[in-house]
Amino acid sequence: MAQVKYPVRQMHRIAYTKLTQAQIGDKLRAAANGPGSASELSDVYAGKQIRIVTDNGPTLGYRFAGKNRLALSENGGGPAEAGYGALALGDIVFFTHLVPGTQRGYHVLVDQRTNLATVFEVWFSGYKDNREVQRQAYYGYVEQTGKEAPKRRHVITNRVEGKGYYWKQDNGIETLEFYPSTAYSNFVELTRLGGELGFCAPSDYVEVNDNVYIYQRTECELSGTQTIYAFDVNRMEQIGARLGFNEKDDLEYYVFRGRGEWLGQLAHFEKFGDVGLPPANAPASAKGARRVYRPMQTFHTFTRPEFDKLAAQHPARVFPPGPNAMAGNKLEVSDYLVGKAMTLRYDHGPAIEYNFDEIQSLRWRRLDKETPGAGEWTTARYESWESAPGLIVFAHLLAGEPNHDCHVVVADFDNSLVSCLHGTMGSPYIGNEAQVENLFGVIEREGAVAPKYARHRFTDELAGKALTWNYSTETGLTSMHLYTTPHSLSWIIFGQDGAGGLEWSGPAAYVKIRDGIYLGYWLEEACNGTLGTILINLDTMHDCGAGYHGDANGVSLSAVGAHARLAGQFNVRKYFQPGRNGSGV
Amino acid sequence: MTNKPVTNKNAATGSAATRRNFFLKAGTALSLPVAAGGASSLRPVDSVEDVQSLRRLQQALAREINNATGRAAALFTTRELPAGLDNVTRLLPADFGEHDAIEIAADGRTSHVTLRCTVETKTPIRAQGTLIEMARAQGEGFVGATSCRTLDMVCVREAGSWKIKALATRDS
Repeated sequence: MAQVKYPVRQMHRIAYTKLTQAQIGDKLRAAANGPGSASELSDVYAGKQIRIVTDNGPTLGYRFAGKNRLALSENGGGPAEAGYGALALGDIVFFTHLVPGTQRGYHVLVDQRTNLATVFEVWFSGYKDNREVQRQAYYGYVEQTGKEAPKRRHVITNRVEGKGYYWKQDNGIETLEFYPSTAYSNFVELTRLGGELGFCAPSDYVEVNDNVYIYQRTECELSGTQTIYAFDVNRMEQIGARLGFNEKDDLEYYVFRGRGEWLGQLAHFEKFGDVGLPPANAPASAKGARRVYRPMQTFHTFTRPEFDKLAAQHPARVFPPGPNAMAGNKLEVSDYLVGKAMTLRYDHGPAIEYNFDEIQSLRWRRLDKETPGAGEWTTARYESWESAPGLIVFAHLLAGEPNHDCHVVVADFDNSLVSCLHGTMGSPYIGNEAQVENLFGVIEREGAVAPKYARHRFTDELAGKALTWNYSTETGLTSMHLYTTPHSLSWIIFGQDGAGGLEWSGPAAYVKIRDGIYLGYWLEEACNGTLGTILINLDTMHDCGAGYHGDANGVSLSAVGAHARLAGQFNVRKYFQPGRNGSGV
Repeated sequence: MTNKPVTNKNAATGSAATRRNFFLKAGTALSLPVAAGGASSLRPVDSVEDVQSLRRLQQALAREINNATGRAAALFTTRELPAGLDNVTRLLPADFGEHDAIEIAADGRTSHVTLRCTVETKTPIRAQGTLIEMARAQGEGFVGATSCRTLDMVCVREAGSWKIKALATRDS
């Protein structure tokens, strides 16, 4: 069995080199002979000439000397020779090349049955991060002597939205790829990164015909690498290219073919009849423009000492009264705990005694004697919700603890079991970025004997599931969670037309509390630094939980509550079983 | 959206007066019902032209707002959009103009225009957080609403053309 290649750092933690334009120019010389390929290149165009006319874009004349050399004439200009690589999938031909002496190139897809073509012009050094591949799609046709230009074109579409595939490329690279949005996609690198996390990238989806679509993503805010392919949803095969610089700043430029496995189909939330055509899904007018979520451009980060100072200056905001856009649909605050006393004893963690004096006021103290301050009562504001009979979620800050600590607790009084998400502020990277650990234990109280061996457990039962969450009926604020792996969560924002829009993701974990009830968290690492926690009840299709956040105003702990809808399920759990060849999550 | 009553300052006395008071004092003010397709003229031709001119002003206001041209403020004497148009993204005529009215003061320099409209608003969601930021990043993050409202406008003649001096909206 091959050893799983876990990365030293996950992609969102890699400080990718800010390559200069000159460095990129030097590195691109390696592409002069065209892309690499694990499969034999197609000679479908060898010895032929074609002329591609695009709407509002270039006219490209090609003369193919063989299966890896071509001469290009752009808009009737002088020919430039370049290396290229082509692959064919049925009637579909995909070829790619760079333009020598430039940082530009083209990916071209031709449907030989219709002679329609889509051209992706690509270039480097077009954004402040030079390594981020830029792209512009043009739609047109291959000119046929003596024939009128066809009226039809390949079109932007939402018909790929909701699909998900496992892909294995001819070079052995395996991925899970989900398309839950019309503007973004989500990919899990099973072989490159061990498949722990899913990542998101702005993406394009183009319909070639009812069977074949073009997909393009660029790993913006990460390596800037582009992956583009055409795929046939019936044959479940793909042909395409990868272009960019990896974490070692080495050029990756190759064509690939792959075979896929259908993982499932999520629901669409657009109106019936909306297939995502412009103008509802209109491309931006500026060349290369695309919708990109760049969270680190808006996240105000602090060092840990800076944040400690801010937190000392600003009283913590704990379930502040007033409107909360993330909790317009929260559960009613529960009085279940009022008047109760208990000890929560966590395995390999603290034992904490509680007295719940009022509906939003509790006292807690640590019973572990070696902890400074143990035994002293501390009053804290809390909020609690009863997700199911006897199943209570409550959350509070632990004043006096060293890391602005919070506990989000799921207490199952029927089973005397407790799970806790212990949030702390500050990661090795950012002082106001939340981190978390799962604690498992038991409830000790009068009249009940706690189990000695039974505990809540981590689960992969949610992996692949997608749920929409409507946080507020008044504002309509809604997102979709896609639980991409047992350790990852992605969230998608809907557009006004119901189409999936921007998307991002973070590390996560899921604990099974009862049948159909799960405790989950996600960390908005390298994003907004927030720890999101929710108890998902699939019987009520309602959640409850808390968001833990640090910013210039110190620490905040606020309620989260939303109504759910089931959006679908990808069949992915088999890819995360220990010992699976190629990944072993 | 504000719903304050429109008031004018009586130019002769300098005292604040309600719109009704103003026109009662004006005494000879022209009042024309403006049904769909225009008004029936009870006054000389120049007043009818004023009515048409004021109609064009209303249409220009709706056009500039509906097309988000950023030029609507030029239709106001203050060159600023009033609070009554905060978050308004579309103005559409309602009831085929049945309830609209244009009143022109006798001196022909001031008018009061009442329009019943369907008003579409997009009010930014007042919140912070990742989802809101993402929604804003894709050009959204607001609450859309449609309501039937009455626009009260006081218009004045400025350099030969009508401008809006004051505008407020109220529930219809």
